[in-house]
Amino acid sequence: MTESIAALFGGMPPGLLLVIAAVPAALLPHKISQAAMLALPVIGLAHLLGMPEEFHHTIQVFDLTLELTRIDRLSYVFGIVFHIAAFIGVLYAAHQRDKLQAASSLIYAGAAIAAVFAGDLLTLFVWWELTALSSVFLIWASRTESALAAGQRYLVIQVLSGLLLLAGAIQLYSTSGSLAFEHIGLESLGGVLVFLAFGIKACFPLLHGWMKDAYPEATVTGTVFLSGFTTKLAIYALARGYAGTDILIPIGFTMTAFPIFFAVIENDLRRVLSYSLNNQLGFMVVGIGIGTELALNGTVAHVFAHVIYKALLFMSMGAVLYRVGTIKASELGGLYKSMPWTAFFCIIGSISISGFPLTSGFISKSMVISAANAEHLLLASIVLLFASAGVLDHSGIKIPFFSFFAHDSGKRVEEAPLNMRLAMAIAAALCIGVGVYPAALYSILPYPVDYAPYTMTHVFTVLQLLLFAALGFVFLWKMGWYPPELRSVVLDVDWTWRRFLPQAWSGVAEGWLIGQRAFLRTADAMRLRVLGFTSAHLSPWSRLGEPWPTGQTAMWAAALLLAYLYLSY
Amino acid sequence: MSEDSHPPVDSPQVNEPDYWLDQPKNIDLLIKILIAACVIVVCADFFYHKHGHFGFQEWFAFDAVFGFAAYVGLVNSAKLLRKIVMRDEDYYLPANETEGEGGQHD
Repeated sequence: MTESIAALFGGMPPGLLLVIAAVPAALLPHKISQAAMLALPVIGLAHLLGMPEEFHHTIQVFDLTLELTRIDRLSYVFGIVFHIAAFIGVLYAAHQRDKLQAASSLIYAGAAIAAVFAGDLLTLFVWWELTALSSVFLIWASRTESALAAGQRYLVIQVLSGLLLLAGAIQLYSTSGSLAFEHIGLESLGGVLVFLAFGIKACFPLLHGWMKDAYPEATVTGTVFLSGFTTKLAIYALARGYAGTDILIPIGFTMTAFPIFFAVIENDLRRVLSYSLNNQLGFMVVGIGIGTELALNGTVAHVFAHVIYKALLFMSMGAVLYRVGTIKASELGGLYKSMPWTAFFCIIGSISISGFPLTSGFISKSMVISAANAEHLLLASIVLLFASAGVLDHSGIKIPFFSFFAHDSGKRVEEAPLNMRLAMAIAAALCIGVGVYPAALYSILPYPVDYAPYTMTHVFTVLQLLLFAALGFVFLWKMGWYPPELRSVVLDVDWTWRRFLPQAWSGVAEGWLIGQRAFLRTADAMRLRVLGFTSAHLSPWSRLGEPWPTGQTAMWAAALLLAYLYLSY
Repeated sequence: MSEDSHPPVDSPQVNEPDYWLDQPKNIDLLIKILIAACVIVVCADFFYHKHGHFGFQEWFAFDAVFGFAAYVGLVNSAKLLRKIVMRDEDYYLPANETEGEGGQHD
């Protein structure tokens, strides 16, 4: 069955179907449209599963060889989890009658899938930019002023990433004569440019501002899609091009630690999840930097687990936003009474991301940490351990606690729509399923897995870390020392381009105006002084201006003529 | 039902059942369970030999102490961070969109 579907598509990359069929499917009447949209990721996945494990399809454009499709162990896992994420996202959005969002979300998912199967940098660039262009509509679809502005900022940064990729690809082509997307490294200028392009989308420290800015502005369903694809596509690209690049280790562990401080004090719970997403990307980046088989397996396993529990968390917070109309922690609380299912699924997502035993986070994150330990990276190991305790705060406790428990806000709403609950149930089942039976995930990782997550040492050390961190929360909460949720915004690096640069620019403009005014004032004063001088000495009443006698004038004229005569000889 | 709740008019809470979690004694019970679980996972350290790549990983209850300290340290430093980076909710709003009489910045 799957083979015959695969044969139907020839050598076309999986994902292309979603891109092509998205608009027609979205334009159908609502019910048929939803069925078609749900079927597309399933057909796409069947297509991928029907392909051979190693597959290459190239075309010749002028003198360029473009590898449209490259399936191998690395791209395969990303393809599978992206299809699952697309299916869950479409199901979650099935109640919605917004054709713009429906079409753009499928194009976005399809472009991201096709991108991981791109075998050369030019093909990658095309899909890379399409993910940017299609996903911005998921932000604009909120149809608010702030979403419009955030979407514009998002688009500028995403397109910039694409342009860096293109510039790097051209540079690499001119030096090596090949566009193939293999290991790149940082030895050449082109390699550095491409690295920056990937780094923007992977939310490297200080390049991360776009995500915490834009994701929380997207629609309820849009954020679920956004959380899945762009950043993980960047992780894939880094794993392909820069595995074992040492600088990724400090970059990665900074990513795991830096955002969690912001997550503690942020009030918008979808923004908290964006910081949390950034923190999780850090674990993956560390794994890529270490570059051993265990580390890369850990990164890929973590991508798989993360895409699903992060989607689950965004879905549960989306459901709260959809029903309550706000996602600010300061306005929420006690929602478990009216949204028990959503609360339940949210808690599954929370314990998964925290990495409790029997959840997907436990069996994936620990591979990266073990890899760091095995390479004796002391600082990285300690920071990752610290970040693991930190995850428990913002994603494990803060997200479910302040929305569903804490102080009862008195808000009584309907439970999330059935399709949303179904989507959350599937994601929750996968979180637990992967945690209980990790062999299924381990069997599709890029390298053979020789790793046992359920050892005594591992289970108990993780439980000690997490339970005592939870005890820390209880302690702070009981003492009244836990920071209250406050209506506020938290400034981050995006402040630079939202406030500092505009203000610096208006400062420059103001300085220019002040200078201009000072110049004009001085010039005017000079003009008046010259005028005063000339009117004092040259007016008809002054010494020089009064009429002279004829004889005197004639004498001066003669003297002038003599001087002229003398000078001309 | 908690005393600080202000129910919207269209959702009366008069007929709500008593929720298990609304009773303080049940919260205390949950906390006791957590403390018991903490004691159990620490005591487990007596019963097997820990394998660690670094010496400190084999110390008794290392992860427990580290987890508690990391958590409390993280939350307290984030509270300090608030002093630097926290602004009013309308900070980024253009002047004409400012909600209520809240102060405008710059």
